[in-house]
Amino acid sequence: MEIRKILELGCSQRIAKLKEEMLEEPRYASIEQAGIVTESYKRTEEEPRCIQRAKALKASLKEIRIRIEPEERIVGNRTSGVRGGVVFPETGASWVDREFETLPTRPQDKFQVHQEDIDTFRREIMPYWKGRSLEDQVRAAVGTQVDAIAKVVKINQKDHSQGHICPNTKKWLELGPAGIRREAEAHLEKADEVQKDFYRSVIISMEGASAFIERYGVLADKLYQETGKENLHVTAQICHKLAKEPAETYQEAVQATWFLYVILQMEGNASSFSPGRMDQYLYPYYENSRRQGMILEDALEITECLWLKFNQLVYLRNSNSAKYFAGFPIGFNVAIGGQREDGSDASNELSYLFLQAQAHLLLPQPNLSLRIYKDSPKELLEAASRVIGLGSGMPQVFNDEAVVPSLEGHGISHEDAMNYAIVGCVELTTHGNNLAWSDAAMFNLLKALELTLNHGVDMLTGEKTGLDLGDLTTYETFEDLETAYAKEIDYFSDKMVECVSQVEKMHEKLLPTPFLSAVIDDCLAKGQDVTQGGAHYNFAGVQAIQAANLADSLAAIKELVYDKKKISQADLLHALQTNYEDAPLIRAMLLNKAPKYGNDVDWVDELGAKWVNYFADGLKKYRNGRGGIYQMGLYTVSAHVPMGQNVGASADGRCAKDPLADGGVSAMYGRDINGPTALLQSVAKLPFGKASNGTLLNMKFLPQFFKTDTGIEKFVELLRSVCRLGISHIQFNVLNEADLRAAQKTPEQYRSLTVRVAGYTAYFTELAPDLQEEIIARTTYESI
Amino acid sequence: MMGIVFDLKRFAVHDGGGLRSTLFLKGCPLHCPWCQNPEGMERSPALWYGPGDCLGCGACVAACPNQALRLEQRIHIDASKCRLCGICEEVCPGAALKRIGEQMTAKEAAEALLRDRVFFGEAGGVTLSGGEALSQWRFGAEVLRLCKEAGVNTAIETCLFAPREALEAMLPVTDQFIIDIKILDLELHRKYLGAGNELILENYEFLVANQAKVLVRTPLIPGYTAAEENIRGIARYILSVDPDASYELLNFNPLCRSKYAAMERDYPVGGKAFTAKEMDRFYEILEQEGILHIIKE
Repeated sequence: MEIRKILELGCSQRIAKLKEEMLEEPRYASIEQAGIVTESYKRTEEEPRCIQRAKALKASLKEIRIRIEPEERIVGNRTSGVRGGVVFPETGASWVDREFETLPTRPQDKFQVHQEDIDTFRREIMPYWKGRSLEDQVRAAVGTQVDAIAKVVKINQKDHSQGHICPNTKKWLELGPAGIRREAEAHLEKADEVQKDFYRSVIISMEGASAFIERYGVLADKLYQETGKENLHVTAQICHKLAKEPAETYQEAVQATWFLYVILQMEGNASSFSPGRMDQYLYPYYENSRRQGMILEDALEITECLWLKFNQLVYLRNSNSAKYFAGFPIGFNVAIGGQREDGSDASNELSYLFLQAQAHLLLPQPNLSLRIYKDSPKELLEAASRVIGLGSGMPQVFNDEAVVPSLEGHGISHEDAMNYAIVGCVELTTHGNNLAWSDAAMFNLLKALELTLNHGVDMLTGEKTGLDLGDLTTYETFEDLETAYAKEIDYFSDKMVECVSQVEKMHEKLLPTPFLSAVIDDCLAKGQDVTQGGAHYNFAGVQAIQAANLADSLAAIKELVYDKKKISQADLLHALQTNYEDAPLIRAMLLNKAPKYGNDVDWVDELGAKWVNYFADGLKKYRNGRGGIYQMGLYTVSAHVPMGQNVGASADGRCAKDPLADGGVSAMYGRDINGPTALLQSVAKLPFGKASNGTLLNMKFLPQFFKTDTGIEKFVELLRSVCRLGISHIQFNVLNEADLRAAQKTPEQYRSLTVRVAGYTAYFTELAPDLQEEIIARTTYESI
Repeated sequence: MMGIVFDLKRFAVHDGGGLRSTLFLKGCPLHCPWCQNPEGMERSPALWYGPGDCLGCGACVAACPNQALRLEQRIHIDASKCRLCGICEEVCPGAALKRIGEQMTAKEAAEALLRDRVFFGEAGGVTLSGGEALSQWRFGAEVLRLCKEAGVNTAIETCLFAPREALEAMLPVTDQFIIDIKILDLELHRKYLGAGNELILENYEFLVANQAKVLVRTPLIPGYTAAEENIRGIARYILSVDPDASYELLNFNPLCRSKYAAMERDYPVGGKAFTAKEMDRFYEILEQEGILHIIKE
C-alpha cells in the first residue's frame, strides 16, 4: 500500500474552487419536485399507491431541472441549486404551510425562500395534500395518543420518510438501473397477482433512473460543446454508459454511487441513506483503474468531488424537528477500516484516500466513520488520529469488538454482523438488507422519573400525564421508588409501541418505496416493498435518554435522602417542584455531595446501567409492524437540548428546562471531573451488548493534544483502550473556546468551521445560540 | 506500609510513556519558589479551601468546634486552630473545603493506580510524583513493587534530594527515573531552593552508573532557571555524566497561580509560558551542546 504517498497528496485547485463556490451559494427551499409530484398524483389517482409513487418519481427524474458546474467531475443533484431544502408534500405539507415564511429566520437550519414559491405552494400544491399527506393521516389516526405521551416519548417519522438505510450499493454498481429493471421484469413474469404491482413499480422507477442519468449525459455533452472542457466530455460518456450499463472504472463507480443516493433522496427525502463501507465495495473498481494507470492524485480528486457532493444535499425539517436534529443532517455515513467477514483486516488504499479527502475538505459530510478492532493497523489509527486532530470531529470511531457481538445478540448472522455499517449519525445496520427503522422514538427516562416522583403530574405544566403511583414523600424506601419507576417506564413503553406501530402502518399504506426496495436484499425475491417488511432484517429502534442524568438523579436521591438522610423527602420534592428557587443549598448539596456518573464510581454507574438494562429488556416483549424486534439505542443527536426543555428540575442538580447530558452515554457536562479515563470506565459499565441500535459518546479535546507525534501515539493508545473497554462508539470534538467565541462574533469568517453536534457534524455558525453555548460548556480535557 | 497522598491524577500524559496514572506523595525537602503543587510541600495533611466552590453560606464557620474558620468575603483558615476534624468538609454544600493529604496503605495506593490498567498498554503505566516522591521512599518503593508485580511499567518523578538508600530501594522497582536538575550553580541552588545540589548530582551519577533509565528535566522558570547559562551548564554537565542522556525542558506553567491565591499566598514568579519561538532558542542551546535525545512534549 502506498500509504505515505496518499497522506502527502495535496488538494487540487479544482476542488478548492468547487468547495468555495458551493459554500457561497445561498440555500433555498425548493418546491419544484413538489409541483411535479402533485401533478403526477392527480393524473394517477386510480392507480395502486406503489405505482402512483413510482410514476411520481419517474416524472420527477425526467422533469426536474438539472445543472452541471463547469469544473465538476462528479455530477447530479436533486435541485438545480445546491443545498436546497426540498419541500416534500407526500410526507409533510401542513407544517410547510404553517412555517414557510419563518424558514429564513427560524433559529435552527435556516433556508431562503422565494415569495412566488410560497404563493404557488399555497395555490397549487397545499390544497391537494390537505388530509392526504403522511403528516395529516398520522395526525388523524394517532395524533391524540402521540400528543398524550409527547413529553416522555417523542414518536418520530410522522412527517417524513424513514431513512437510516444502507442500500446494497454493490448490487447497484454491478447491475445498474437497466440490470435491476431486467431482474424485476424476470420476477414479474413468474409473480403472483399480489406481487405484480410491486414489480411494476420497480420497473417504472428504474426507467426513471436511467432517464435521469442519460439527461446528465446529454447536458454534459452540450456543455462540453460550449466550453471544450475535457472533464465534461468524460462525464458525458460516463453518464451515457451508466444509463444502460454497470460501472467499470473508479470514476464510473463513484458517479454511479452518487446517482443512487440522489435518486434515493428524490424518492424518499429521508434523513439519511448511507453508503456504508465504501472502501470495500468501491475497491475492485479502484484496483481496476489503478491497473489501467489511474494516478493517486486523480483517485483523490474523484473522491473529493464525491465528498463535495455529499454536502450538496441537505434536509428540510420542521422547526421542532430541526431542534432535535440540528444542522440539517442528511447522514451520508461512510465507514472505513474494520474487518472482513473472516476477521482479517479490511483497510486498503481507499481507506487512506478517504481520510485524506476528509483532511482536505473538513466539511460536515460525509459522516466519516472509522471501524476499529483489537488488531487495527497502527498506520490507520495514526492517520485517523491526525485527521481527528484537525477538528472536523471526524472520523468518529466505532468498535467492532462491541458492535459485532451486540448485533449477533439481536439475531443478525455472523457474516452480516462483521459487515456492519453505520447509517445517519451513529445508528448501526447491516449492509444492504435491513430496514432498521432506527429512529422510531426517543424515550425520556428522566421525564418518567419526574412523573414517578410527583403523582404522574408534570412539574412544568401541572398536567397529569403519567401513572399516579405516589410521590417522593410516599415512597418509604429507595426500593419503593424504584418499583414505582419501573411501572411508569412500562406504562409509557406500551403506549409508545402502539403509536410506532400505527406510524409504520401509515408508511406502508402511503409511502411504498419501490426504488429503494430494489436495492434492499430480499424485497425483489419476496415481491414485497420494504415498508411491508420485504427486507431481510426488520428492526425498530428506540433511544433511551439519558443515562447520565438518570444515574446522577437516582444516586443523589439514594445517597442524600434515603441513606444519609441529609435532605428530607419533602424538602427535595419541594425543591424540585419549585426549580430550586428557595433551595440553593439543597441544589448545591445535590451537585456536590453525591457522586456523579462519569467518575468511575461503581454504584452510581451501575444505577444508570440498571435502568438502561431494564428499559432494553422491556422492549423484548414487543414486535414492530414488520414483524421484527425492537432494539435500544443510547444516543440523542442534538435532542438533549429540546428534551431537556421538557423536564423540570431533576435531583442531579439540573435546573428545569436545562439541557440533558449530550450525546447518549456521555456524562452530564462539567460533572466528569476525574478525566477521560474515569469517564470511559464509567461509560464501559453501560450495557453496550443491548444497545444494538447505536450509542454515542462525545469527548472534547484541545488541539494541542494532536500537535506532536507523542500526542498522536497517546491518542492511538486511548483508541485502543476504548476498544478494549468494549465501548461501541466515540467521537472527538477538537477545538478551543477562543475559536468558538470568535465564530459567534464573526460567523462570516468561520463559515467552514465544523463541530460535532453529537453524532454528526454541523457548521458551528449555523447552530442556534443555545447549542453553541452548550458546545462551549462541555468539559475540556486540557493537556497542561 | 502507610503513606500520605495528596492526589491521584488519571490520564497523565506528561509523566512518562503512554497513558499513566500518577500518584502525588506529600512533603518535599526543597522549597522551590515556583512550585506547581504548593499544597504538596508540607508533609502533614491540611485543610484546603477552594474559593470558586464556596457559596458563602457560612455553614462551616458555625459548625467548626475550634473556631478555626472566619467568613469575610471568603473563608479564612487559622491553621493553628484547625484539628482537621472534618466537620466543616461534611457540612459544606459546595465541597469548597476538603482535607489535603490522605493516609493510605501501599496496597490501596497500588489498587487505585491500577484501576486504569486497561489504558496503560505496553508503554503506559504508573508514576510517583509529589511533593517529592522520595520523601516517602519506603512507601513509594512498596507501591511501585506492587505495580511492577502486576506487570505494569513504573516511573518516578523526583528532585533526587534523598538519601542513597532511597535510590537503592527504588532501583529494582522503577523502570524510568524522571529527574529534575533545576539549577546547576551551587550558590543559586542554595539561595532559591533552600539547599545545595551536591546530593542531587551525586544521586544522578549513581543512577547512571547503575544503568537506570533516566530522563533529565529542567522546568523553565523566568527569573530562576530559564537562563541560557544555566541550561547550557546543565546540558554540559549531564553529557559529562552520560553522553547518551535524554533531556527535556518543561515550559513554564503559570496556571498554578490560582492555587496560591486559594491558599492566600503570593506567587513570586511573573511572566507567561514561553512561546514556541522562545522554546526553539532553548532547544538550540541543547543542540549546540550536543544533546542527542531532546524530548519535546
